[in-house]
Amino acid sequence: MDSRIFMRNPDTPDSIDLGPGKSAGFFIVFCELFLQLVEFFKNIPEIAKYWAETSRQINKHIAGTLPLGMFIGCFVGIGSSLQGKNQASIWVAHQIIVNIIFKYGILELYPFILGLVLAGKIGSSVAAEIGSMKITEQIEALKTMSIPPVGYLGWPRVAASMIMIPLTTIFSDICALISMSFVSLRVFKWVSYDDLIAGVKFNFRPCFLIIHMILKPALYGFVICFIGYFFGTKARQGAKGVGQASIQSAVVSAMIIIALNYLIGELSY
Amino acid sequence: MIILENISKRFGNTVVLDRVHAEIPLRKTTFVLGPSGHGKTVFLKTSIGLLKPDEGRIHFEGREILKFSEKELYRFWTDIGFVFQEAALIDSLTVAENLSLFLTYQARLGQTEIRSRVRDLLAYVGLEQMEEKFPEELSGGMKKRVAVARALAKDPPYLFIDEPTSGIDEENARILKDLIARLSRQGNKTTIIATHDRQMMQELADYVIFIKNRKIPFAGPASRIEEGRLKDLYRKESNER
Repeated sequence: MDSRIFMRNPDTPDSIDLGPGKSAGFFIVFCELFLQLVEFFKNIPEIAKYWAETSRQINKHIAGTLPLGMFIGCFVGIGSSLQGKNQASIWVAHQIIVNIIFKYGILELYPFILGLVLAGKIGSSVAAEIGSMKITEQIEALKTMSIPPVGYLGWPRVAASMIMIPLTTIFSDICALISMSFVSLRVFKWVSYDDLIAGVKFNFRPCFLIIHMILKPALYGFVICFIGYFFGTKARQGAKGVGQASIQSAVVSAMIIIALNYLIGELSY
Repeated sequence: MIILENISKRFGNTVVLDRVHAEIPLRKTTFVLGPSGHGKTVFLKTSIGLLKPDEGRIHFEGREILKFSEKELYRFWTDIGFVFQEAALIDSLTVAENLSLFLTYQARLGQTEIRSRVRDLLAYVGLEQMEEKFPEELSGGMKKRVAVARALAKDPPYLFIDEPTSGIDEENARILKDLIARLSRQGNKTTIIATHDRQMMQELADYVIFIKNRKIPFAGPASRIEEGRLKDLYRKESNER
């Protein structure tokens, strides 16, 4: 018998196999996610300790996420205006159309699209970053320096996302509103200024803005980075494993965002 | 004394350590030898609780570390310096930032003191001009020297070094050997080194643990293991292959 012990990577022995068609089922993943969540909440006091790392992550967002959010906002706003123009007719009050596309856009569509895009961008990048740290023993190295990875790597990313995604959503919504108004008034000219203002003001409740422009994106931020961190720490088998973690993170966080979008809507109206 | 009592560790169906027993003397240099892939790294990581064994107990000077809570384990790791086989430097941080991680977040020293400590540590490993470099800009040997400096940043009573000289050029291997020899001579640290380097073992080892086929066929003072016996242990392995 071959006396050599052919090990799997000894640095990732406790990870579960999340690959498609493998033995670990949804239930195990769910339990692991829950345990990770508990660990995150146990480490809340670490946020203050590693604030410098959070600032570094916020800077990354400013450079990478804000411009993307503004770009998305501008074009989704123009798209909404185009849709308004197509729906506008003598049979429907233009104020109502403005009210619908304004509310649907600001409260639902723009934060939702941004959440999905950022699930791909931020979530997969967090998973890849943490995953490559995992397979190169950097996470274990942090532990030997008595630095908890959740405190140093997890929370700063999550906290930065929870701050920056709402901020990006607000910027994105402002851009969308400006582009929608400009294109509606000056390019397509399907609505008058007075109708536009009346439509925006109609049945306007500031609490909705707080829920959908701040709280909901903050929750998306938590989900995106937490899921990215979770799948990153489960990465194994080199570059392939990191790629897989990155894909899993984007898909799972997008699914959670879709479900959350409905749930928050249901609860808030 | 560090005592590993009937430690077993498996990954899936693969048993790596099977009820092994080892006693590591304090303030001595212990070498962990054995063929590749027979669990030296796992032995080292399990010894400090970085990997959890499936069964057994680990006593560090009377403290049973497997009973530690997570918080106690992190506190215990402040006494441990660990040099990983591939150095495991945080690749998004510069050399100076890598060295100052523990000093900033655990020792909570001021910036001036941290800078001075970092300079001293880099001078100790002979890499004075490398403070602002990123790990990707360093050779494998340099990375290992930085990793040694990082492990020494907290002046730990226990130092674990995994394959210090493997896969690096002769010059860096010589520098690392000299470093380890200096640490050994100081005699105030319990140093555990996993290596293939028999020459280094013969020069520096006080105590030897040989791991093979999930077991420890030899553990004892270095003076008791003769070259013939060592060759025999390795030869058996190649015959079995």
